[in-house]
Amino acid sequence: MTLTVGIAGIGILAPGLAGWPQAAPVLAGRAPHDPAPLAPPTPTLLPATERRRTGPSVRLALAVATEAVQDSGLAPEDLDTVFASSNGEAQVITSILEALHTPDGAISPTQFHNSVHNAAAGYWGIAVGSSRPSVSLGGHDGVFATGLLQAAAQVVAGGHAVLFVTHDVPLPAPLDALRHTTAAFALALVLVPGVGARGTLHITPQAGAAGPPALYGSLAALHEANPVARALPLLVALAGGAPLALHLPMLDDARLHVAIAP
Amino acid sequence: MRARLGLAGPCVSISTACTSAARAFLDAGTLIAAGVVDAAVVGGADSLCRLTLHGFGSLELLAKGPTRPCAEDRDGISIGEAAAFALLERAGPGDGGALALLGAGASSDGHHMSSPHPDGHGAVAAMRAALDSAGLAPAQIDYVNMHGTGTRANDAMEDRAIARIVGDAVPCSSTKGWSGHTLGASGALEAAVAAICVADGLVPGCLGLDRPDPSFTARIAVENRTAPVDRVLSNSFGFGGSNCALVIGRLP
Repeated sequence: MTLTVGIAGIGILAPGLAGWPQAAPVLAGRAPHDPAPLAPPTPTLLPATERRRTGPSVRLALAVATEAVQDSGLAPEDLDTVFASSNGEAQVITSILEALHTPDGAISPTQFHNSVHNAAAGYWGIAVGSSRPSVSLGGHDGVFATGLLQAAAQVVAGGHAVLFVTHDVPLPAPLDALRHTTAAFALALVLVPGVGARGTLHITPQAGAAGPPALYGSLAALHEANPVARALPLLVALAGGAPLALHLPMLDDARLHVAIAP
Repeated sequence: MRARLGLAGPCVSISTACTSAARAFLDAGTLIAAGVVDAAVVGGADSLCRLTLHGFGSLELLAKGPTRPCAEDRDGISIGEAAAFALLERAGPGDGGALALLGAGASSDGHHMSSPHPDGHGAVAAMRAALDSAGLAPAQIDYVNMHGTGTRANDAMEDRAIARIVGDAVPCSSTKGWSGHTLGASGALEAAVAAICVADGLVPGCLGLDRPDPSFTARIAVENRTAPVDRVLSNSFGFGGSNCALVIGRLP
């Protein structure tokens, strides 16, 4: 079974990849990649009270979602959403775990409601005033492929556009010792039925592990630095402008075959 | 779960707070409808932990005694533990009369991270989407299994939302008086309860309830009773403004 979806808009924020207009020539090898650490931008879409409650993972998600939707020309409040993150908002979880470790174990109510995995999706709904359905999922190192598959299935089954947002940031100590993530990376794709202005994907789940990516230098290093960066081979193909087929890692024994028509 | 059962194919870990397991039914239905898979194991599990206990405590949402959903003096949730799973497969021509997921719908509140929209706009949208997806009119629902957490805000909001869909024509109750609020597992647990209601012809009442909150307009079931139940609407709502409704019943 192959799912065909178009890409109507792209948003990206990662070291040295600040928005699709800047990132595309870097990914295509026409401009140098300077992987400087990035600061998650302030989410100006949100009211001030909500804005200061957001952590770095949510801020990255809101930024790339905004860019992708603007790129697509579609109305943000009309889009169903799929959010995918491996690490969630680890800053919040770490802070809660530290508080639970104290004798009275009292935790902050704001931190508690921000600890849910769908916090980014919730803030997006508040920011754009959307009542459209939204799902949030995890998936360790296969989080990008898993989210892409679920979002594409939703586009095909429902026949309408879906905003797919995937975002991860490094964990604070001590959890960073257990989950190696050394760079922030966020990507959003507005997926539509049929073909899209930014390219078209033919997606097929397959048995078997994905092989190593055909990436070199700083992009190969970034690929290993964040689970969402497993999207880089697909982004390189979209930026390069030539048709290509590749495998994306999903599980130890399962992968996505993606044929890309830029 | 995938390894233990020896399954192949995609594995999607959904985490949308207290709608997680209901969303698992909806999203597995999407994968089946898109032709990605023919069948899926769906469900959810949640256990008691300090994080949720202290978290709901910090929001002052824990009941002092056992939770009493829909009571006038309800004062919060009792956290429960559960695991519930089901095997969904594409319905075929010979499946008439079988128990089924007839429809599923979802929405977002876009209002607040932990408080539902007071008028229940999101809840109404999710229930309408579930009915549309099942191709059913509200009058074809025989029982509504409420999210019914026992908090002041949820039960009042949900009563208003249900009344906007079915008025006072359909019996409604929360089974969280028995189970407690099993959080991430509750959507699957209550899908199983809905299936039992259909299989056994049961309309459950709300445990520990003498009379419903007099300000409510929906028809709250107080006592268990037997009645033909062909279709159940099951609600789940969660932090982040996540809403999901399932329709469980017999295939025509």
